[in-house]
Amino acid sequence: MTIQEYNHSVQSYTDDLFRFALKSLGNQHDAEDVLQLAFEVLWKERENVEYEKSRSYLFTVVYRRCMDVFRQKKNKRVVEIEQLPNMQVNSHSYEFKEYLNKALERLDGQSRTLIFLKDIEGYKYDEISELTGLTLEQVKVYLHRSRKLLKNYLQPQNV
Amino acid sequence: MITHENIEEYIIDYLSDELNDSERIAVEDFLQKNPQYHEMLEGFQSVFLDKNSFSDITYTNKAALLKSSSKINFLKKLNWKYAAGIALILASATYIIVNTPSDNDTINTITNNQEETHSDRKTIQTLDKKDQQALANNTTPTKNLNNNIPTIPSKQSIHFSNHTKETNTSIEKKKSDVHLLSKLNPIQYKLEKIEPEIVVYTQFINKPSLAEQLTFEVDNEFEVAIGNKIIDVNMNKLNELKSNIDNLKDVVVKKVEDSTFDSINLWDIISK
Repeated sequence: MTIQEYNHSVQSYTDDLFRFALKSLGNQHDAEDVLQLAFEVLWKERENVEYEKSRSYLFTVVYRRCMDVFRQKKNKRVVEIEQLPNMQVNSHSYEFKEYLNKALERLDGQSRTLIFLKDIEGYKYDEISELTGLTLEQVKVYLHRSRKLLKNYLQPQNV
Repeated sequence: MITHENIEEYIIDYLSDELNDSERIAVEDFLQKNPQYHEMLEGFQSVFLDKNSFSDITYTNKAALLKSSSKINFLKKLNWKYAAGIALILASATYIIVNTPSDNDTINTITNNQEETHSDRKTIQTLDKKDQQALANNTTPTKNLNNNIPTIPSKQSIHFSNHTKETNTSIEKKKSDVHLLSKLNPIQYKLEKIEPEIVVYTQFINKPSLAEQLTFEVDNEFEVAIGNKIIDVNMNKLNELKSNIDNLKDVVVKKVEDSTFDSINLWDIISK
């Protein structure tokens, strides 16, 4: 990867990576640290990283670092989402989105990062598997379980 | 095969866009035949995040992550630079010693010459021995020379006044010689700003000595710019610039690490 390609990666992917790190970690300071680390790693490894793969490479670094942060903060816990009171909430309302954000925060760190990789960054299951080092089946199981937990939390009346 | 037991998994994969065409059609057929699962479909649909709702999150300090493509590591060039610098200083010192008359000779020549009306000659007459010695040693004189006259005397000015008769031709020649001398030893002109061509050589005013300056810079990487245009720094480019040195006016060096600009004499970089 040339310097120009590295800089192009910075211009193209920084926002995506920062958003992913911020939503996963829930802390701006940690997200900035992880982002800077990712580009430091890319810069050091630029001779070995093809430009076409720089995006997934960066996401891999950020994902792994997020996992480290979760472990350090002992944030990896059994998911136990308490249900909202049985109430009708319009899924397009601001209130619903607030609940959804709260529900996401209650997921364990790994599940949350997988949701963001899938929904926000648009990665396919197999790409997430390659990026995270999880098996395809693990990715699928984690994501399915997270969807069910979120749905049950937000729409208990539909259970 | 889609069943009532696994329809939930299929719906999630359907919404995740992870099914192939035949699987998608199978799910749609199943839902059409079993409308009781429409509510489940909508329920899962609501827990998929909308990418656009996060688009306002951006990182504002991208510039700090960028790398410069026009870097030069002065450390790599340090050895031969020092060698060339020492040779340059020795050559300049020899030239000055050989061509500079004694203090008495210089002052007598100047004060006895009735045609010496040029301002820098007047300046020289105001210099005491201490000041001249200071100039000879390339240090700041005890008097503020700029307060006396427009042009500022230097060791080179003394030298020329001793060897030339003041005519228009000789003045022009002197300016030309001054320019050449400034190339030979730009440090001698730290106090001067006689003509535009020399501006580039006077950038070290209020700076440490050249040696200290280089020592200060040696561990940093720089971008070299002329005016606002950052040039691609490599030795070929520097040699090309050296050949066009007369056209250089505003040469600055940018510290990459903190984006601040310091003035520097590019010719010194080249010559070192």
